[in-house]
Amino acid sequence: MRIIKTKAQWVMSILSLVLLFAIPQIPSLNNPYFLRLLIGVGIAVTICLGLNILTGYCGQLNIGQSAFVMVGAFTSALLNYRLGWSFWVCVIPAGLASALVGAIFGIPSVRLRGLYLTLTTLGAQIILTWIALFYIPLTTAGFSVEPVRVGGIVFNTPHKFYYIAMLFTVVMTLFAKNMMRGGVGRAFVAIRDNEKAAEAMGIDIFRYKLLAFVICTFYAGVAGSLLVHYMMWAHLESFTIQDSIWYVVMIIVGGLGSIEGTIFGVLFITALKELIFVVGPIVEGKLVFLPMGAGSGLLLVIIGGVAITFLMFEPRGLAHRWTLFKAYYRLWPFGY
Amino acid sequence: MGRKGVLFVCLMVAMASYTSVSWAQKPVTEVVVGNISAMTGPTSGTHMMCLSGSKDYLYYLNEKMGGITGKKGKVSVKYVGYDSQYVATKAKDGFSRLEGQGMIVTTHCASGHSDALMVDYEAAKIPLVTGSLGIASAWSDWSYGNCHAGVVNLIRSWIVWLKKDWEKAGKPGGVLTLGSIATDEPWAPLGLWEIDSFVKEQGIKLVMETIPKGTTDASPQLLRLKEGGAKGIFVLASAPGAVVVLNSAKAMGLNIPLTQSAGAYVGDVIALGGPELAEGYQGEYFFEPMSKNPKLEASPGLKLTRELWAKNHPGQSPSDMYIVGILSGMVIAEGIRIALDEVPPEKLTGEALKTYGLDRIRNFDAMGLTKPISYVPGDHIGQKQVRYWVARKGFVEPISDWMPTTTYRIPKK
Amino acid sequence: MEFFGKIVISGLVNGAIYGLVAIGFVLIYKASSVLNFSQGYMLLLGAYIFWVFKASLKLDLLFSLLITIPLGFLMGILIERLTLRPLIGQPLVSIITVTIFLSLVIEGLVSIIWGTYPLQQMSPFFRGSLRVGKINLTSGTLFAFGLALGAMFALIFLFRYTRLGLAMRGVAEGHQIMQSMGISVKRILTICWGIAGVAATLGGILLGSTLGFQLGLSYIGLLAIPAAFIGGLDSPEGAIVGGLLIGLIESIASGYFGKASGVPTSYVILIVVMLFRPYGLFGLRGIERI
Repeated sequence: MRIIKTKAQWVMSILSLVLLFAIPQIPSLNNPYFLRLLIGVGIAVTICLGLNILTGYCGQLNIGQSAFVMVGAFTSALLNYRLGWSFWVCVIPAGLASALVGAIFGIPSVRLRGLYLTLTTLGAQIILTWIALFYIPLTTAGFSVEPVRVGGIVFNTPHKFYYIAMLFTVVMTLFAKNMMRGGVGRAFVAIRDNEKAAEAMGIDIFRYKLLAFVICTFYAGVAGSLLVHYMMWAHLESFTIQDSIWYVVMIIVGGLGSIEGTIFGVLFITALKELIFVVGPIVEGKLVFLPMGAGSGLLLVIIGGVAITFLMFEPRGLAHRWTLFKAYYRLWPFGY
Repeated sequence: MGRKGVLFVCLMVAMASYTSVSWAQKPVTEVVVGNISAMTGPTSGTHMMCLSGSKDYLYYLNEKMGGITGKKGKVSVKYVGYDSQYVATKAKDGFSRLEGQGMIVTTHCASGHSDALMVDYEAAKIPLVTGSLGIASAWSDWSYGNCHAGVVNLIRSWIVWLKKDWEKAGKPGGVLTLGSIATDEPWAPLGLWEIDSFVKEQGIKLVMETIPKGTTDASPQLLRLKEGGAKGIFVLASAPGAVVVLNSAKAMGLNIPLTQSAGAYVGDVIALGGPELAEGYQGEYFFEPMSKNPKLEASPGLKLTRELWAKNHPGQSPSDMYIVGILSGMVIAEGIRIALDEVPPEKLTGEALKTYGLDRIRNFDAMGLTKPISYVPGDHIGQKQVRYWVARKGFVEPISDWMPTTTYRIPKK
Repeated sequence: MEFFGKIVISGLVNGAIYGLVAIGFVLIYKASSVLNFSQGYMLLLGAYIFWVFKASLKLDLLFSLLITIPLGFLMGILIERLTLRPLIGQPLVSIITVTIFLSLVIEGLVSIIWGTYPLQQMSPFFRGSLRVGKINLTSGTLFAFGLALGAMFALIFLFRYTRLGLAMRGVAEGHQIMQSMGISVKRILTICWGIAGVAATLGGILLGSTLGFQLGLSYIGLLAIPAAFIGGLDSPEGAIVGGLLIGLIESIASGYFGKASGVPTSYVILIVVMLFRPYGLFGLRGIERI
C-alpha cells in the first residue's frame, strides 16, 4: 500500500508542499509572529509524531516526552557550546543520545504493563530534570547556542528558520508514515490491540516495545536539537511536565495511531491557546471586578471546556472525523 | 430602498464615523510598552502583580499629565500584555507579536524569559526593563535590572553584612559559620553559583541544605544546620517554601535568625503564612516595601504606590511584587522622559530610548523608593544598595541601614 | 538519633497526606479504570473552599470542616456527572485526557474566583505540642497525621465491612456482572467519585494549612502518584502503605543525601519495586486473556 496512491494525490501533495514552503513569501502571512507559531507547530509535530508512534501505534502511554526532548536539546547545545560543532553535526548525536536514554527507560517494559509503564515515563521526566538541575548547572542559568548555518546563510530569524523547521517536519513525517505502514508499524498495532495474541503470532514484544521507545525518543531528541538552535538558548525551564502533558493532549485530540492526526491535533491545540487574544481584552475591559489573573483563568476554562466538549463528540480525535469526511466524500452521493 | 439598502447605508455611516472619530483622537504620539509574563500557571500570581504595578503607574501618568513630556514633545503610553504561560517559546512568539505592534520597550519579572528572550530583544534593538532574577541584566547591554543587584549577590551581600557585625562583636567563636536552605526551584542554584570560592575568600563556613518543593517539613535540614553551628540561615525559596521552613523552625523552637532572599519578599511570607508565623523573620529589600509599617514615615513613592493600589485594586491585599512593577514603570517613564529631551516623539524607537534615555539615567531614586540608580553602558544592574528588614506584627521594619551590595557577576556564556 | 527521628516523623506526616491523595486515585481507578489526572486540582479546589469558610468567613474549625467535607463530596459527584458520565464506553485514553482538561478547567475556575495570587493565611489550628523523647511534635503535625490516618482507616472499613464497600469492589471487577446482579453501577461510580472528592478535600485542607493556600498545591497530585502505584493501583490499603512508604523514602533520601533527591529517589525505588512486583505491593495480578 503506497502512501500516495493516485495521480490526484500526487498533485495535491506537491501543491501543498509548495504552498507550505511558500508561506514566508505571502505578504499577509509574512509577519514574524505567525511564522513563529508555525515553527512551533513544526517542532511540536516532530515531538508528537514520536509520541504517537509510541502511544498511539504501540499503545504505551508516555507522559515524560518533554524530558527526552530536553536530553536531545542539551546534548546538541552542549556539543555546540563546548566543541563548537554546527547544528548539522549535532542533530543526529542529539537524537541518538535521546534514543539511548529512551531505551534505558524502556527497559522496564519487559515486566510492566499499561499504566505502570506510564509511571516509568513520569519517572523519566522527574529524574532527568533533577539530574539537569543539580549536575549540569549551566542549564539552570541558560547558555547561548549558535543558530543553524548553511554555507554563508545564518538562520537566525523566524523567516529563515521557517524553512529548516518545515524541512525537518516534512522529512520526519514522511519517515514516520513510511515506517508505520511497514512491518514495524503493523507489529506495533498488534501489540497495542492484543498483546497476548501478538506474542502468540510470533512478535517479540519486548524488542518491539523497546524499538517504539527508541523511535519515539529519537524524534524527541531531533526536535530538541531543532528547538535550541531555533531559540538560540538552552535553558532548563523550557522543559516541564506541563509540556509533556500538552503533547499527549495534542495526539489524543488529533487522533491516536494516525500521522495526519498528529498534525491536526497540534494545529488545533495551538489555535486554542491563541484564544487568549480574544479572551484577554474582554476581561481587561469589561470584567475588571474579577481578581487579578481572572483573564487567564477564563482562558483555561474555555480551552478546557472546548476540548472536553470536543472529546465528548469525537473521542477518537480529529483524524477519525477526517476519515469519516473522506469516506463521505468518496461515496457521495451514496454516503449512507 | 429596501432592507439591504438601509443596512448598507448604516454600515457606511458607521465606518465613516469610526474612522473620523479615530482620526480626531490622534494629537499625542502613542508608544507601546509590552509585557510578557506568565498569566496562567502557578507563577502567574506574582507575574500579574508585577504587571499591574508597571501598568498602573504608566496609565497614571497618562491620566494625570496626559503622558510623558520632554523638551521635544509628549507621548502617551499604550500598555500591551502577552501571556507566555511560562513557556519560553511562547514568550518568543509574544515578543514577535508585540514587536509587530510597535513595541519600543519590554518589561516583565519572569526569570526564565528574560534570558531566553535575550537574542530576540538584542536583534530587535528593544530594551528590556526587568524585575526578574534572571542573569540577563548582567549579560546583555539591552537589559536593565530594576529590583535587585543580581541573584548571585543576594547571599553574598548577606554574608558580608553578617561578617561585619560579627567582627564588630569581637569575632565570637573564632570562625563564623552560616547556613543556607534552598528549595529545588531552578533559580535557587543560581543564588549559590560559585559560592565556595567566595566563602573561602571571606574565611567563613557555609553549610548548605536543600529541600524538595512539595515537602511539608524541613526539620531534618534545619536540624543539620543547627548542628553545623550556623549563626544565621539564608532562605533561598519562594514564599511557600519559606512558609514550610518557618513552620518547621517554629516547631523545633529554632532560634537561629532566618533571612529571606529576594526570591520572595517577607511581605509575601507574612501574607501566606500569617503575621504570627512570620514574626521575627528577616528579609532583604532593595527598595521600600509595600508591607512597611504604615506608622513609619513613607517616601513619596510609597505614598503614591499605596494610592495607586487602593484605586486600581480596591479590597485586595497588596504585595511587595507590586512595587517591583511600579519601579519598572518608573524606570521606563524616566528613560522616556530623558530621551524626549533630545528625540522627537515620532523618532522614539527602542534604540533611541536606550541610547538617549535609559543609558542616561543618573541617580534616579524613584521618588524615594530606592537608593539612586544609574545606568551606564556596560552596567545595567540597577540597585547597588540593600537594606535588611524584619517582620513585626504583620508589617516590616528596617533592622539595618542601607549598605552597598557585592558586585559579583556570573561570567557571560 | 534525633536526626533520624525527625526524618521519620517528617516522612510519615508527608506520607500520610500522600496516602490520602493516593486513595482518591485508587478509588477512581478501581471503580472506573480511569487515572484521574485532576486529583491534584480537586485537592486545590477543596482547600480553597475550606479557606472560604475558615479564613474568609472566619467560622469555627469544626464547623468549617463539617461544611467543607460534604461540599467536597458534591464536587466529586459534579465532576463525575458533568464530564465522565457522557463518556462512558469511550476509549480509556479519551477519558484520561478529559481529566487532564478538567485540571485546566478547575485551575481556571479557581483563578477566576480567587485570583492567582496566594490567599491570605488563616490562624493556626491549635497551639501547643507534645514531646516524645527529644522530638517535638506540634499539635498541627499530630492533627494532620491523625486526620489522614483516620480518614484512611474509615475508608478501609467502608470497603471491607459494609455492603456499599462490597458493591464498590464488585463494580471494580466488572460493570456488567454488577448490573446483572441488580446493582446500579452509575450510583456506585458516583459515590466513588464523591469519596475521592472528600479524600482530595481533606488532603487539601491539611496541605493548605502547612504550605499555604496557593495554586502550587496541585503539585502534590504529581507526588502522590508513585504512592498510588507502589501499593498497587487497585488496593486502598496499598495506597496507605504506599503513601507512608514514599513519604519515608523521600524524607530519608533528602535528609541523608541532600540536594532534594527525595522525589527522584522515590521514583527509582518505585520502578525497581515494580520490576519485581509489576502490580504493586498489594495489587491484584491482572489476568490476561486473548
